[in-house]
Amino acid sequence: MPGVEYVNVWKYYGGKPVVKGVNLRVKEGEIRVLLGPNGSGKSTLFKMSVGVVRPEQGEVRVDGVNAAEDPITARRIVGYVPEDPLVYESLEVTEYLEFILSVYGVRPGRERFAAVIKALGLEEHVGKLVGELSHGNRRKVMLAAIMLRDPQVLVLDEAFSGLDVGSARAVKTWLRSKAGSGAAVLVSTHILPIAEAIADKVTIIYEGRVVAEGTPEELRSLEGGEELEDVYLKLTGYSSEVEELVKALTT
Amino acid sequence: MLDSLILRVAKNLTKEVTYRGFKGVAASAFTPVAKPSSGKERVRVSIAKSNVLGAIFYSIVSFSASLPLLAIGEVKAPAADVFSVSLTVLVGFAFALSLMQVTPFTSTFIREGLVNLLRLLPLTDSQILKAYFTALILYWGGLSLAFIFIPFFAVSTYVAVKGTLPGTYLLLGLFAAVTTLTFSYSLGMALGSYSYAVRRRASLRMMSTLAWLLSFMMMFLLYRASSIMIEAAKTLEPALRAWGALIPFVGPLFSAANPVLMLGSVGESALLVTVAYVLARRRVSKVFLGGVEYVVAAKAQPSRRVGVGEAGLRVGGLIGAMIRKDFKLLSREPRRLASMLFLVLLPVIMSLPVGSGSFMMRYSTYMVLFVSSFLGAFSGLASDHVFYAEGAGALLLYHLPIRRYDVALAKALTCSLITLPISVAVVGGLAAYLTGDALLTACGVAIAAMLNLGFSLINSALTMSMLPSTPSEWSEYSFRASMGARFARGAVKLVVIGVGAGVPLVTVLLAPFMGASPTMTELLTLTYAAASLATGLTLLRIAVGLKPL
Repeated sequence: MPGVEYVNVWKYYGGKPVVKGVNLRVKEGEIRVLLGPNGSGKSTLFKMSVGVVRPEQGEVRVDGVNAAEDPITARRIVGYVPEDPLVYESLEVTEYLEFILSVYGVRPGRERFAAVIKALGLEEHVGKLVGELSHGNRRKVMLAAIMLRDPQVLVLDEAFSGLDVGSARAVKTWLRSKAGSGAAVLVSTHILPIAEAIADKVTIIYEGRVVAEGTPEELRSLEGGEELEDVYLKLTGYSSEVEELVKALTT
Repeated sequence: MLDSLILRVAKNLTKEVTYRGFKGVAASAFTPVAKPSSGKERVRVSIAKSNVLGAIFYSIVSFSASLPLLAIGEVKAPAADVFSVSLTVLVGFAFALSLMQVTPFTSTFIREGLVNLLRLLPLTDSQILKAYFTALILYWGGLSLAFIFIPFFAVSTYVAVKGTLPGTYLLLGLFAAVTTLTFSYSLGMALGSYSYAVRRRASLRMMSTLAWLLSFMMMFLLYRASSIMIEAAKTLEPALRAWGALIPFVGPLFSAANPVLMLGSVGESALLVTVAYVLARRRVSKVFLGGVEYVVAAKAQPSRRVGVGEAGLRVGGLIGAMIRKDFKLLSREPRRLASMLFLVLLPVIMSLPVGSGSFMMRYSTYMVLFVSSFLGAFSGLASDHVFYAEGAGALLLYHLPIRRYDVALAKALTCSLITLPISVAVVGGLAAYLTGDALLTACGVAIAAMLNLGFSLINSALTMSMLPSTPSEWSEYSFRASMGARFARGAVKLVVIGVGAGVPLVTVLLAPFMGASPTMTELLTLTYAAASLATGLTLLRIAVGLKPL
């Protein structure tokens, strides 16, 4: 089955469950945004899509391939960007991209390479060592590798973290275009306006469980047409008591 | 006196440098700081832990160097000459060690942005500097360096009191010790502050690699230090003394009898110390305190391939790409590369005493076979460094569609591509020089090549089987921690490598005494080398297998 599918997935760290029976399916042509507070299990779910983390129970399938049983095929299918950029700091940007593309056996044309670099605003950085780049630019380098590979399943953890406005727009446009061409896209972000702008569907996860799922409109209607932020805060335990505590800090 | 704030900052700074250094960036091989034994444990730092072991080891070295002074009657050389030569060796040792201590610390301090972190705190420039020096001296093992000289000077003072050694030499020796440590500390600070530039510029990388290699060699000279000292002291002719006066810091010892020469020698040492001090001071005010954030990053060279649309990307095969990547990583880590090259030079240095003079010519065939076996097997073990070069970047590998087999093969081939040409050149040159026999030369080269490839593969395969069970950085520290957790596998690796590499050496050494002819020994060694290669290939396929990373 094309796309990404989590079927009753459980994961424990040190005996404590961090993912509790998650069911989630991202179809081809769909952009699904995963929302949730820090430590709610989003990154663990994302890592499962490339078999880096194996579920104790349940299955994660990408394009029908069980990622835990056949991680190599899963990694070939999925374009995964982790929360913290995974890079070689001693390689130049071009050297890094050459390495990644060689591993995947992808040979992008010169025009495509130039277009990706320009779209992400990396022209001035291609000859620098990755270690010399800022966090945002390192993320762009990882995104550039995925854009050059052009996979049909995208799993992007905190895809917009550290990106400048122009690059964030470029990534949003690219994601929409990918979904339009039939790709399945699973993205997490803490920036709710971006989530509302790009999501076909939103899933909210809290303490390892899916607590709400639907289109942005459907989620807003859950709490009588409030903003998505209000819905999100109510579902993820941000209470008025916390609000009062924060206010009290200033006095 | 240092206040508690400086001590606390210095302690935490050392912890951070240790942690970040062991993540794979610039850990010093001689850092006497307690390393965390597992990922969950904290890095523990204390003045005692950082200095006691070093102090004991250096004291032993220092006391050993002073032994010829105690047995001056048997040495048959003037005490002043023995003192001068012994101190020269110690000064070289102290220079190499302190450089190896200060440079990686400063490099990590600057490269990891720790200096910028300190500047975010409400600390004055002077407090930052104090914290840096306190960290280096108290918590990074700087204090222990004094023990390179303390026992030696204690023994020398005893000899001087007995009247055998003139007191002037003690003063000149003290001058040598102080100027050496000041010079190497200043130089290490300046060099460490250029770490970004070293990573970027090929010429600086080459110089840095050579400097590290020389430092390692200097360390290893201790292997033959006592015999060198005694021989050198016996042959201190007037002409040699004049040349000795040119040696920085210890020069005055060799020119003590000639005031003009001694003055020049003192001046030379003072000039060197001043230049190093000024350089360090300039770098400190620019990089530490000048408010220049990420100073070298800002100066990054513009891309050689700025016209990206024109140049495009060079995409190749998987193994080729991994080897190219490893070459790039190693070439930008001069200390790591020097450690690999040292493993090629070490067998040559160690073989020299075995085969000096007439022995070498008489048993030339065995000598060639010995060096080929030693060099071949030993240089193959450098593949561990190719793993360590991954550092934090190894985490990426776990997310890529690559098999353990691919990684192990690429690491072994990278190791062989670096070490094999040198090994083959050394063996070929030695065989041609000693025997002029083309067949024996070819045989020696074949043995060295097969053992190098074989042991590269065996070592890589065993290292792969000991990888940390969850995605992690690859560094000396993480492998050591993993080895602790997988003790049985670690023990197997040590035994396999130790016995495996030792068999051809023992065979060649015993052959003449067992009556084995040179041809028979050649055949035996050649067969063993071929078997090692086959074992390596088999291990790679069976033990490492085709599982994903």
